[in-house]
Amino acid sequence: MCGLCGLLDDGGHWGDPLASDAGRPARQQRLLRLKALNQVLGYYRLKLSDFHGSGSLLSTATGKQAMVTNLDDLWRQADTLGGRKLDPLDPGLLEHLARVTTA
Amino acid sequence: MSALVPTVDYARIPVVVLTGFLGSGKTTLLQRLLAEQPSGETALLINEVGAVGIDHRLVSEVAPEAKLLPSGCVCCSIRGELKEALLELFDMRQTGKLPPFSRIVLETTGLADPAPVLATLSHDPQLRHHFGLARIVTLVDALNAEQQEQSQPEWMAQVAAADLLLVSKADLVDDARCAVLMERLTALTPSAERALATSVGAGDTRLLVAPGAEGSGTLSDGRGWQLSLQRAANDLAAFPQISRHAQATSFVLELDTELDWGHFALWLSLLLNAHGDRVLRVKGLLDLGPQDPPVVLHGVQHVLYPPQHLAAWPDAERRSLLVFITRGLTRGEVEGSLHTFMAALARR
Repeated sequence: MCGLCGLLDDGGHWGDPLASDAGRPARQQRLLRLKALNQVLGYYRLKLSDFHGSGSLLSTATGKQAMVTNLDDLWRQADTLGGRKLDPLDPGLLEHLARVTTA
Repeated sequence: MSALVPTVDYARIPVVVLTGFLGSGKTTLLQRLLAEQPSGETALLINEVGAVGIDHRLVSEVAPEAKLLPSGCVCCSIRGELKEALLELFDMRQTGKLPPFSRIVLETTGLADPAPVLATLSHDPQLRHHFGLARIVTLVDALNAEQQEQSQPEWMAQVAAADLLLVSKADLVDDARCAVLMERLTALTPSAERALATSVGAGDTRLLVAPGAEGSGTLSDGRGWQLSLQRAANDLAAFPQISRHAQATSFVLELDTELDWGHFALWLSLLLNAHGDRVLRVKGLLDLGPQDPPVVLHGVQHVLYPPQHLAAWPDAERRSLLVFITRGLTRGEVEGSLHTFMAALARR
């Protein structure tokens, strides 16, 4: 548990930054990951923001919010909050991402 | 005085998961494997359906420290029992009540899906510090494989999860039928080793010694990993027709460009969240750039085992290889999605 904010440590996730990423500051890694995640979440009108450098806050356009601890938790909460299943094979999402690439 | 203090060993203990459908010969194999083995080397955990654990009685003569999981299937609902049994074994080993065994063999019931066992081992905060998955060994009954494949979803889950496939009862079918089965297993699980169960002798190191990176978390040269993935690529290239299968498809993605781990983890976690029930197995060797050693990862259904760094590339060729065994997901869909995600997320 974090002694300052009282957040429980979830024990890590397989998708966490690898030891070889250690050369890059942890805060920078978090922000880069947030940016990438928001590219995907934006299509579903969801937004993820940093919470005290240790957790993340998922929000909908209508103000619903949920704390998320790791990637698996994020996708589950996003499915629930967004009201639809996030699908990496969804042609609409892939088209959205392809537009980002060529923009 | 010092002789009274038990030696405490905190190295992670490899766990070999032995699975296979009902009647495929798991107990027979265990008896042969553990016969004449030094006492106290291998602890055995048996998960048995039914009130009377017949398997336990049979094997207990071979390995006295066998422990029976009483309530049937190893699945999510009772993984607490698996955890309890593993921790109890660990505790008894550490306090000297059991010999300092160097591995655990977990025999699952014939109806068990191996994914929850992996989940218990890799996600439980207590277990993952003490135990590491060594490998999943699946027995395939040559006589009944065809029928079980058609009617039993567990059969497919067990075969797809395997690192080593052993075909039993091959002497009861003719050579041609056995060859057809081997070809089908190649199509289903191209990255797994395949052998006849009769080739397993007492103390066979293929089962009892953890291969390469799948061992106790130590770095390895990765040769085993690369060979297994390369075999998958070659097998599927040589027999493209066998990779198409009524119930499951396997394919290998080869990527020439280096991957960003954060972006790849984002994509794979999203894929497993949405289609975890259709991804039976994923296994990969990833190139994360010239400054990084290669990374291996493997997962069974929605459960991903923590990725591991290898010490170095096994040879001069640096290339990411990903093997997927899926049910109803095509190579085109998965590959297209991966490329689109990586290209879009790479834009800073």
